[in-house]
Amino acid sequence: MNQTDHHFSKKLRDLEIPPSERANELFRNRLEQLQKKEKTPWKYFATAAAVLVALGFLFFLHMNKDVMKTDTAFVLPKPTEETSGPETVAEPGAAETVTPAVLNATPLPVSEARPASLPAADRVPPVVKTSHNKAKEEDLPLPAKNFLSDLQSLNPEISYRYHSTDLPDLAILDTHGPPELEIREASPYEVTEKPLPLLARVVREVKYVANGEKPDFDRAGIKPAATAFAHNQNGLLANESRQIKEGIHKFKEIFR
Amino acid sequence: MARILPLFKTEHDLARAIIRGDGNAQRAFYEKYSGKFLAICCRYIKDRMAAEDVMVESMMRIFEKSSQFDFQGSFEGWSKRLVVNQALGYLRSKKMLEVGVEEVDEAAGTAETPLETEDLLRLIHELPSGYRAVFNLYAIEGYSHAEISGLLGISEGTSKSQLSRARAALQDRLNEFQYTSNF
Repeated sequence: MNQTDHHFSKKLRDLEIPPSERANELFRNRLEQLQKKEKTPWKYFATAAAVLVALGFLFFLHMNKDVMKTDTAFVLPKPTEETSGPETVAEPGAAETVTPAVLNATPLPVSEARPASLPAADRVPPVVKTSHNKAKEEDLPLPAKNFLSDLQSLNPEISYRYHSTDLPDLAILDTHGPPELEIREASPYEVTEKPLPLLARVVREVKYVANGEKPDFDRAGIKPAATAFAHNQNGLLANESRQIKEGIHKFKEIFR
Repeated sequence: MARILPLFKTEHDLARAIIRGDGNAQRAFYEKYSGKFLAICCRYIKDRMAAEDVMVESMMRIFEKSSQFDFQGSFEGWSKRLVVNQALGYLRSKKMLEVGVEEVDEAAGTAETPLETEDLLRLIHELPSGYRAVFNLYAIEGYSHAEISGLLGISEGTSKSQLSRARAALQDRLNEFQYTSNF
């Protein structure tokens, strides 16, 4: 190495010049900017990931529309062997209950008809579908509002089991043919009646009694309240009816 | 600034933390190397404030490009190269890096003068920027003529001639100092 080079190198190679306060301030500002810049991409990544997840979920729902369908068939009681009638062609192991709910997810608006109000002769067990007519069932077009008559035209002896989620206790109705039901149009503005509180029901019952009616503790809500009271006091009891009776008796005394 | 260097035991620990974007590591790095890097910048750039700006800019560049460090050599050496490049970039942007193409013979000079570092730095600053760059790169940073030709976009011959001219100029200046100091 040239001696001039060596001379300069020796003195300047490890030279340190402390930066001024201005340079330090400049560095702090630039570092702050850099850290902000580094943080920003995470926001974009997070947003992009969230959008992708949402799109993926929507795509999944789109591809699996069956998942969205409300299948209410599971709420129906399973057909027992006693319920299979003479007109059904039942094959052991291949039996399946046909219900309108399976064919059509939209519930039929039904009036407040109860199975008890129908004649006993009309109650026919649900039809049992055999495996050979399964294919036919799948080919059936989706019934519209008048699906009752459509089904009847296919098989006049078919029995129907209707259920409607409009009814509070999911009433099940078995008939031999389509019953004459008062089909009311469901109004979107219709407000379902809320159950009255116990005090209001008791006051209403007092009014009924004042008008000369016999007191109905069930209607007045005293009996259910007494039942609940008995449960709350002693839990589940061996002799539950006795406890309920005692509760009703207490309420009667208060009522007097 | 507070001393936080002991948090990073080795240089590579510090480099790893800088790659992660750790603010403490970046501040520690500035604390440790800002003086050295400013000295490098001052060798190339006459204006002190401009040299400081380039030094800070180099620091930012080091932080941004730290992920490219391959842990094969020294992080300091790698960073110094970035600082040198940044300083040369500054000179280029200010059109101060115009080197001549004249070939000159190497001047032989052997002067050992008791000059202070500031005087040497001033002598270097008195050189034309092209000579200064080549001299700094070859004599102080230890680059080869091939590397210098790549960095400055000149031929190796030009690099050699610039170095010779720089040496001759510096020798003249050193002789002048010696002469004046004798009287």
